[in-house]
Amino acid sequence: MTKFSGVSAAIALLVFAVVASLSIGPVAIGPTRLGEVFNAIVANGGRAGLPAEFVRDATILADIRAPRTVLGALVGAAMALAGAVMQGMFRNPLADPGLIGVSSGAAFAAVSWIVLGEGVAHLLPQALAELGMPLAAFAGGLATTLLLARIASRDGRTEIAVMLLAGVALGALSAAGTGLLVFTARDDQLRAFLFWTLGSLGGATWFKIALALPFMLALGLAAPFLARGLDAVALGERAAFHVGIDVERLKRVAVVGVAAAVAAAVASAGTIGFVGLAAPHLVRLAIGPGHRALLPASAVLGAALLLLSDVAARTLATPAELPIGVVTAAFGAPFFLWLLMRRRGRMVG
Amino acid sequence: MSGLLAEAVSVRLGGRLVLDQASVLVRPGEVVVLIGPNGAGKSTLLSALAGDVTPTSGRVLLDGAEVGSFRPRALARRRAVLAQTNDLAFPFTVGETARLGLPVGIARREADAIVARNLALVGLGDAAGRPCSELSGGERQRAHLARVMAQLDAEPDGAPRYLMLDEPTANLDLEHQLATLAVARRHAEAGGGVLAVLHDVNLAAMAADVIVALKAGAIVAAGAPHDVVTDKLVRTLYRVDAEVRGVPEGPFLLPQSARSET
Repeated sequence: MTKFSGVSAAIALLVFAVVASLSIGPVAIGPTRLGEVFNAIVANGGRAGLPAEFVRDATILADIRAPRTVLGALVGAAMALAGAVMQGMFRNPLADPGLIGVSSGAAFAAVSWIVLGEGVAHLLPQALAELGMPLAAFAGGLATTLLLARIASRDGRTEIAVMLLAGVALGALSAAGTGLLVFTARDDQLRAFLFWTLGSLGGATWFKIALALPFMLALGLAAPFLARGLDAVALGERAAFHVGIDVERLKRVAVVGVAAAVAAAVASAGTIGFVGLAAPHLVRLAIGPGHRALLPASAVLGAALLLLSDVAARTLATPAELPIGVVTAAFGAPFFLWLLMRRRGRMVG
Repeated sequence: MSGLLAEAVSVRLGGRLVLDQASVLVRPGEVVVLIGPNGAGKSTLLSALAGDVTPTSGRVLLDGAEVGSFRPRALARRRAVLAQTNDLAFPFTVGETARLGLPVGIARREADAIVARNLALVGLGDAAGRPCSELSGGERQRAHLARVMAQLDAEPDGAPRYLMLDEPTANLDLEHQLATLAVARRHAEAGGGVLAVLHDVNLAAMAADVIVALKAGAIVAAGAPHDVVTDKLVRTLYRVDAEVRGVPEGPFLLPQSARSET
């Protein structure tokens, strides 16, 4: 597959996923109807005073499905882009955003808020109290990664292998803390935490999106400047320096960018696994490992895959909603294994 | 002053003195070859000259300026390095690999031309679309040589460029050993400087204008091959008694005549 057709295919899949995500639900709003409602809102110059026949669908779309779709696309894109950057930076096809401690740090902070935050929550204004857990998760994820980067740095150089091992150790430490809090948690707290770890796009609001967007956008804007450096790092850090890359700066930008984007993604949708690992691999299989095309195509494919998973999560067990992390892993993992067995030579260098 | 110069460079790694007051000058138009036993500090000296190891004492000057004062990108325009081992983490094609040496922002058509020219230079002209992971060890080595030559080929600015090769012939058959050394020679003839680490004393004597012999981190001899490559040097470096003979093209050593001292 050429780069152009590969990227086009990913974009087509994303368009399909967006339409599916907006259309499918307890109230079906087909693609034609989507267009009509959208045109009506535009013609009317807003939702106030909309003709009665459009009010219900416009409300569902604008207040529920559109934010959910936008958040899903953003989270999927952020996870996949972060995964592609991490795999390039660590020169390791196994790398995913969890490797630099974001997910485990965020989980520990989230459970801390759920179990210990009650006393503080009622002192805060309502809006802030509701955001307590996502904010805690964001702060916990970012702080863990920065601590990790600090541990792995000496004389201004970050040692990637040390970072990997320290990440495993910090992950174990956060897991221990998380386990201890889970052990002391009440049943309702336990349930809240469990659902958070399985991930959901259910609580999406425009306000949440506005909070998370800048951090995800930061990685997206940095990506074009990382592409050439990540290509060179495939040769090894020393050879990357030989061809003119400031490797230390590349590592700093990559780690901070990934940590911010993933912390924002995890904070707004929980720990959704697998998209960050799998999407870059699928893209690499289709169009090769060059990061200039790999990074944007991974983001597009990640967005599409997460939206499709969310559609499945919403519809497979109606009226109940499956946790999206269960869907991404249940469908993604067998597919990935199948690919791995068939095409192993082209996935790992 | 033109040239790549190590001035009394010492390097201490993990408390061990790996390089002890080594001085080397690579002039434009010259091929300088480092020889010496395993662990003598050849690669460390090359790394110090390439700017990736900071000397514990002494200094490295590239055309008069401290090598550490260059930004990575500026340094990459002046020297290119072929490492001993070259592993790619992902399955890039031969063409993409050669392109990794080129700077950002180079026009696409020019990049294509440079890549094609340098793949042809190493005899991989028709392999551009093949994944590097499917190549033999020797072909892969040549693909990376093409990358390094492409790097020196891009954006010429008239300043001399230095080609640094760490055991470039290690995985190659005789034909490609000679071809690789011919690439290095042509680079020197075109006004560049070459520094190579070679293990084969015969290849070194054939390829070098200047041979620098290292042992235990210190330089024990330096000069033209016919002055430097002698029975005595071979004994000093490798603890091997062998007869060095000469032909008009230079000295040579027959391993068949060797008797190890130990």
